[in-house]
Amino acid sequence: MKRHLVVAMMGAMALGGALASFDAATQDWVAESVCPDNTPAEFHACAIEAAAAFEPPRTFDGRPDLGGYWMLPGGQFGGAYEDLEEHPGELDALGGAAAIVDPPDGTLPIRPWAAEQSEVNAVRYLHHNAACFLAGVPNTMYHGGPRQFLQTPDHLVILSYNAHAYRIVRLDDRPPPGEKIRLWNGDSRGWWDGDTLVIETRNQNAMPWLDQRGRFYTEEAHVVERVTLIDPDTLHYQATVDDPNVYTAPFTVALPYRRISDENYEIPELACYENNVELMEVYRQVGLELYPGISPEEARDAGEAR
Amino acid sequence: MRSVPSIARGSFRCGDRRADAQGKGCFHASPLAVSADSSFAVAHVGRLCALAFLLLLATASARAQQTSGETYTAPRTPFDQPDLQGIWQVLNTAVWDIEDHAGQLDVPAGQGVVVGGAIPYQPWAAEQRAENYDNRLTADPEASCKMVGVPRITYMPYPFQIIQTPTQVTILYEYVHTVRNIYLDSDHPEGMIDRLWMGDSRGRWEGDTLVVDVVQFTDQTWFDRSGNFHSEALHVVERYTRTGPDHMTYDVTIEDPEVFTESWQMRMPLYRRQEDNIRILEYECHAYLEASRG
Repeated sequence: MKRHLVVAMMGAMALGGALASFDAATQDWVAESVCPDNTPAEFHACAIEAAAAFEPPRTFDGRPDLGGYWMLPGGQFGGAYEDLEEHPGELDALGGAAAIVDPPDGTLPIRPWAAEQSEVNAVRYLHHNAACFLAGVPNTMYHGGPRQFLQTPDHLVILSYNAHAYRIVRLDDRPPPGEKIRLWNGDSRGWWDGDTLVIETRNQNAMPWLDQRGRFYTEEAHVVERVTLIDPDTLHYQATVDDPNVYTAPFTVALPYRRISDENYEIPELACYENNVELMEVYRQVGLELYPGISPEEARDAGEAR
Repeated sequence: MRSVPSIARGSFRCGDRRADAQGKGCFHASPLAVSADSSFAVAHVGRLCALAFLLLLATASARAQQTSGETYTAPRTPFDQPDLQGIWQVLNTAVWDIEDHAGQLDVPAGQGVVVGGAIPYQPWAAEQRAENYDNRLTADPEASCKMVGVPRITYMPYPFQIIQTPTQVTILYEYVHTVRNIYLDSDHPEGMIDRLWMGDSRGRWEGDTLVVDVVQFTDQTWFDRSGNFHSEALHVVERYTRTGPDHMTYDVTIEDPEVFTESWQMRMPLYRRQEDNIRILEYECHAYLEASRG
């Protein structure tokens, strides 16, 4: 109940902030798509076919042009952000279909001890978003709210409204930083596989969760994302998470991004932490702690203890 | 002073043959990364480089001003705008105090970046500044990990990366993942406006100079760790001008009729970070602060 109260509070706050500048409810801004909003699994199947038939608009250097403002259907919250698996509407959730497309049954191949730990996490610890922390990869990509892609020959920059988070994806082959350098959003390197941008992320500190249900990963997680234009106004986004410490197999999330068709749109400043000081005190008073993370060694020990 | 040429132009050699052959001079051009780059006569080269380093420090500001827009033409982006992209950082003590200041524990002495030397405070504001100084360890917004506003974010001791598109210049700062989107050839919003920690930035090109007009500020940010401050009436005009392959001049005009008797300026060089593996990492100040609170 404590979790529901707190999550509902933060959801209301964040929704209020987003709606002040953005009408997420009506989705008038969403362009028509060859793959209409449906379950992630149905969208995923449609998008694979659509991508094969689509000749994307290109940048001056001949790459598919991913630039522009993008939004997940459903607006600020919902779907994968709440729960990667299929889930009903609740006090702290709008509900939705599974965002997992592999395994095909839409369930996480999570180890039993980790499933139990996730439930503990969700009740005991503060969600990273409530503390205005960065959301990690891939959560930062299905965390709601508008985002902008800035594309240059050697970078893709992803700017998020939420927590004014950004990702700088280097399109070069320099190695990741040393393994002691752990980052909330990891170190991301991208390359083109045909007309798909592939992004590999390492060096995450694994302090954010994958969803509101406390699903987690460790620093050794390896995430590969694929971003493909399937029509002028729709991106097919896929993220494959591989962390054998917590999951028995890699799993893949797939989601659509819709282009924000308002040509005058700009992402406003969201001063998250600056406006959150009192609320952090409330969280402390109701006994929520900061999630301490779990090391790869602790995760392996927990697995072996079973 | 102007006779000391820029190391970045490769005309100031330090005797490292291999580096010279690469046209790099004695170090990777930036004083942030002094490196002899060779085992050849390391000590000798090191001394010469140290001398060059000091000379560079002493002359960088003057050179940047003198050559601003006069002798250097910035390379162009594919969309034919001056190219400011890359990872940059200041090398000065402005974050502690933008005016002249003596050294003290954990504060390096430094010469001010305020053009003309002193900030023209109104009398009440000079008193407020003194009070801020006395309370600086807790009252400085940086002490609670908040965004630090403009222009302070520029001279924080962290690198920042500039990315350009035809319609937008975006600056990504390492300090608390601050972002500024500078929209080109557009207007500040009218009517009901929110006060913003980083202000509302609109840019235009004047020759090779990016001119950024910033308004809509909160009164919650300071100019430095010494309590220099402003009101919501703050109006900032920044000028970014490339002065060489690895240098820019950052020139900023401060206008705030609530606090100052007249407008005033700051000026400093920005240096391109030279390390091959340089990238923007993270300084998640508030995450560290919250963790320390348990």
